[in-house]
Amino acid sequence: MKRDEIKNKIHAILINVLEHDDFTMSDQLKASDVTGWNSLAQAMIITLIEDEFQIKFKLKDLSNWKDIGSLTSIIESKLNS
Amino acid sequence: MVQQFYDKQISSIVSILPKKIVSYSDEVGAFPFPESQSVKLGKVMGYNTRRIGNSDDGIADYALQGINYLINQRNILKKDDIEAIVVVSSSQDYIIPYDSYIIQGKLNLSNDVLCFDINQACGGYIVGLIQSFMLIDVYHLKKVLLITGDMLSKKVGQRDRSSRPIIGDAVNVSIIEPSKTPNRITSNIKSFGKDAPIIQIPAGGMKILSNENTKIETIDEFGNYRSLDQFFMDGEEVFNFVMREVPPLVNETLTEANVLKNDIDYFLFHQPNRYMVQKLADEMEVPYEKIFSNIVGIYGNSSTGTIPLNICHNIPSIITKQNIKACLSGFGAGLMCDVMVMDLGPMEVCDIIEYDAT
Repeated sequence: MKRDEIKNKIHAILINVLEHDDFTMSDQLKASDVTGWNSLAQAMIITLIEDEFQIKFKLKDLSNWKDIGSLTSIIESKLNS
Repeated sequence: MVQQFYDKQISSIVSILPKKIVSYSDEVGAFPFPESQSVKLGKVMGYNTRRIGNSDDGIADYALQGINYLINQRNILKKDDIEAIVVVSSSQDYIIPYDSYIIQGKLNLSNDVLCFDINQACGGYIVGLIQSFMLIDVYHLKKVLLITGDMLSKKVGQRDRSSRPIIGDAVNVSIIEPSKTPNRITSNIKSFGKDAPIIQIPAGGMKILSNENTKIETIDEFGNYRSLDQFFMDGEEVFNFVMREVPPLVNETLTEANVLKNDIDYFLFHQPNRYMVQKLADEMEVPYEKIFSNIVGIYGNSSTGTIPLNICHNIPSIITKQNIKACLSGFGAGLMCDVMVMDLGPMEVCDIIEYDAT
């Protein structure tokens, strides 16, 4: 799966969970930049991403997840492993 | 700190639950968030129903019903056999007197019965087991009653979506005694007092007395309302703490016990919510069939009560017939986390009953 395709799916999940699209998707986008992206929203986002891509995040993945760019790389790596 | 105990068993457990069942779907309207978002959150986190006690219910009342059930209905306990009562809770009935003495008095037990009350929350069941084992070793006791449970639903704000959907009430009575067959039990506790503010009820103790100001609910940065009298938990920090500390503690304890992870039949953990337990399972690479995560969605998180309730709900027919290798773990307020690797079963009783105030 191409990075753009992964990002589009992440974008859709963010809109679904946060119930707004008042943010611009970019590799630099972080949770703190987006209204409503708190710890409970994060749990929902993690679960929906795991379901969507049929992957499981471990603690080291969550620690390396700094922004949309790093999240995309983590998903890409898991899909290719 | 690791400690080994020898030749002890949990011979029976009874969980005593409030009759009142509240449904998450009935409460979402009260939360200061879009209802559709709260519904999605409930699905992901596994929020469904929980049991909550009445405003005048207390730990001792529930424990007494459980003890009387074991004495009169199951006929596996005699009053004269009770040599010690250990109560572990973070929601004791009074500041003074203590629940263990209230129970000893209402049962009209001997003045030689030892009574201990320990303030603990989510890691309290293992702390209570350790205290019970030590009493058996030091005093050479035959039977200790371990009472664990909490009624923290009284302390959670109605507009606090971070905590209210998970908090339930329950009390358990476990009978702890020397085992008939030799065994080895490995326990491990770690303490993180510097992180104490992550889970707290700020007011109501002696440091900050409850008053008109501590009753005022204010909004936090995420939109939840709570007062200083009410339960607070920083969910993100708790999640990070649990994911960071519990898996290595489990591995360390299994190594000390000389038990392989695959040899554990069940990982019977405290359950803060379904999501966190499943992430722990993922991190530890334990299949979901071996680590139950259903308790909070059915009964709520009863803090010191979840591990024995987990056993009584999920494996009563197994545990009353056979012996299993179990890994118990609690984690939470303190902060602290603990693990115990032990044989469980066959138990005489592993039941769930409902509290009847009449």
